[in-house]
Amino acid sequence: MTHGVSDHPQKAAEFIADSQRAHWHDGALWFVRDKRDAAARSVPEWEQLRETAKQIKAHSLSRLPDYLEEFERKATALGAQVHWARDAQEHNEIVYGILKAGGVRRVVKSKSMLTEECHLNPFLEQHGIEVVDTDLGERIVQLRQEPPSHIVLPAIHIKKEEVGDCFHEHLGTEAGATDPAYLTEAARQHLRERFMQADAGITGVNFAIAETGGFVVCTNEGNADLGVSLPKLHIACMGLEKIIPRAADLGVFLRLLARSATGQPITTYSSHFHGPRADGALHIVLVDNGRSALQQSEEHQRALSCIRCGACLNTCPVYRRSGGHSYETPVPGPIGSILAPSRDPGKYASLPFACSLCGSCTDVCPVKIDIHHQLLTWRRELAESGHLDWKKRWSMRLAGVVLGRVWLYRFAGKAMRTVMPLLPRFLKYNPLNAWGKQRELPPMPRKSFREQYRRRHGK
Amino acid sequence: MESKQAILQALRSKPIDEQPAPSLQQNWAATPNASDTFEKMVAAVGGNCMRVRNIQDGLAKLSELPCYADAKKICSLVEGVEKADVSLDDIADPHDLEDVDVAIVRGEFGVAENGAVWLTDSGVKHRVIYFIPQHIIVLLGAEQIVHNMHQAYERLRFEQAGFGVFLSGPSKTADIEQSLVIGAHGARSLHVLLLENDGA
Amino acid sequence: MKSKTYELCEFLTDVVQVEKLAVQFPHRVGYHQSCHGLRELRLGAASELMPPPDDAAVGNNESKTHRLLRMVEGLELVTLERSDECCGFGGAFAVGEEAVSCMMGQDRIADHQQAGAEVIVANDMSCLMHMDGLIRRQKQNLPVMHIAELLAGNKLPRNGKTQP
Ligand code: SF4
Repeated sequence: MTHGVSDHPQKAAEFIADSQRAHWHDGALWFVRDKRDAAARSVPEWEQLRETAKQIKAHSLSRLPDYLEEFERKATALGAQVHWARDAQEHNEIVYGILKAGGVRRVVKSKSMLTEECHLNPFLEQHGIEVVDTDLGERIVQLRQEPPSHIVLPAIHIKKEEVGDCFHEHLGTEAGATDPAYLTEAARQHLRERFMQADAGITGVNFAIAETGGFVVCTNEGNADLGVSLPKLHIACMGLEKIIPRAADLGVFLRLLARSATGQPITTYSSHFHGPRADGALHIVLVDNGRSALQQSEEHQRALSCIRCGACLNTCPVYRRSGGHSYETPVPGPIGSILAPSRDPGKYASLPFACSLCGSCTDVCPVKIDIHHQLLTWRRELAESGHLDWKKRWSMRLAGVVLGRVWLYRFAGKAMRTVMPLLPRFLKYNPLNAWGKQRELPPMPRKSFREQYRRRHGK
Repeated sequence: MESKQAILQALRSKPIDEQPAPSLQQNWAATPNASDTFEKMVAAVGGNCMRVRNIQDGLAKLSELPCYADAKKICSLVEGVEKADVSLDDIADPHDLEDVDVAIVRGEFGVAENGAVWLTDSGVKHRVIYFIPQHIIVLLGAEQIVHNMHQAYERLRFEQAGFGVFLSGPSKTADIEQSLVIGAHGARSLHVLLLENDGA
Repeated sequence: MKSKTYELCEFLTDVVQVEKLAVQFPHRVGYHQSCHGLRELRLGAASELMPPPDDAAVGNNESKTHRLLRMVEGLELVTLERSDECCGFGGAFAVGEEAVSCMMGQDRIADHQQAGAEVIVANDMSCLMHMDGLIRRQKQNLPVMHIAELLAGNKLPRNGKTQP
């Protein structure tokens, strides 16, 4: 990942340059969106569930500090140890501290966007600890030494031929193998070994329940459960916003989560952890890393309601055609484009503009976050805080003035109608005019509609 | 401690109006027939659900399942399984369960809308028994099927330390080009024996 | 202000409450739902939303424009694979994210073509300007029309010229 300023249009253009692949990617995600539609349609009270989920999250966020304290109290009473981390660095140090104290050398980790956000793996590796990502998709990207490109489907950008090559190199599978069943079986055997050798298991958290002090982890593969029921040490890392007040709220969220994510009625494993195993230890790390600032922001607090289902990525016409890596942030797509600038507005200023404002994300979101309106808000905020480069300001202005509907016809139109036909083609279509690279400009009627109307009606 | 105070303080630096929590007692739709829907949904999520009259018939049915017939090592949490040769209580280290082929376990209840079965580690020494075997067979009373997840949570209390999982079908992944493959890390197959008359 | 402004089709179906139209248009029409109309003005049911099954009025991803188009004599609405995906115009987006914007537009056009549309009709000039720009650059033969032109009785544009 680059550490400079992210340039989504550039990265997107590079992705689209391979048109076949871009269409393949678009199709793969649309397929998931289709499955989501079918699953949502099968629930008669779908919209009612979304509304309820939204309200639960709004309530939790409005009382977040109280619920966090309640959660800590209850979790501690059950025998878990709760840690608080202000930022990624502190989170990584806490996790490393626990592992070091336990004499751990090998860790298996299930999917956790939070640990991606904190760059936990490189940190632990620097300290001599081996970390193996056990979700199949995450293992694939880990072996390829690249970040996940999707929060639910980490390897959605990779073709089976490439997985075959990767496994041939690292796991010794047959050269040229592309059968997903064969490749998955090879990963199963390879990861079984790692599960057996691990000294500790790290998981993320999907939901943490204030009233009980427990938490829920959802997977399809069973990797989280296998990873924490063999070794004695379990570390669960969670962002502050994962708190929900009541266990019964899970009835709402678990009905929405998997259906929105992959079109399944529920994930294969929805595991409820309350306290450590009889012979083991359980640590829960609560991480802020910019979340408290979001919670305090009237405009963007709602973004913390996200349950990371990935539906807004799957439905986003831009994400589907530009790929997750074009966002250069752990959470890509529409929701990522809200979260990333809150952490680093300078670096991620291009993301809120990687959006045609179609609004599909907002309608697909199971917790009804007004995603595209938030992106619009970000654009204004970034402009006001001086985070836009000249190109962006210039293109915004060009679009605003020339393409801004009514203007074109009323004002610019008249001048253009006179001037445009006289201009040589190379003046109208040049590298500065992004409109004309692949598109013709609208034809100019000799007289505008208004003029024609006036003439006909003698006004 | 310092960080905890700092975080809580940051979260409380501006008063936020409390938003009401919605009631969860809503008119959630029931399935037309809970146990029929459950049976269908278990199949839909890649499992296999069979109805049997009672526990004796269920045990008799086991030998018809290839995974059971072919198994070398079987661990049963249910009394009376002939071929069971691993006793969980005699195992000190859960790693020793690595080569268990089939586990036969008891489900507390099932959920019609998604084919999930609720399993817990209460009285179960090693919870890994739900995840490590190659195949898993669950015995479940047909009376114990709720319509939806709201009803499921009405049944659950989390007052003590413990572990519970909604298990819906066998382990699966679609991480390679969205092709569904059954048997990722956990069980390669899941059978549910639905007991019409559950004496237990 | 809000309560007194209507989108054209909304005005025709909700205020005038037209039931019949004396318009002929014997062609296969691809209707492009503009996102602004669909998800801001809610002129139809977006495909993401799941209306209760008994709410037939907004079921099936139908919009007010669909209803009007069905009143036009001889008109056949083609079925798109993606009923309401964005065309990629998006104002500043069209130039700021030129590559994605154009690919989105191409994909929409291709969907109308595979469905056998003879013309793309929309309620939003900007979407049409964008798609038309792509079509004309590629010298393809797929005219675009604003819904108002069609309802006003205009004929299918030939060679890029509107025919009143
Ligand atoms: S913002 Fe909504 S749709 Fe997007 S990942 Fe989060 S919960 Fe899912």
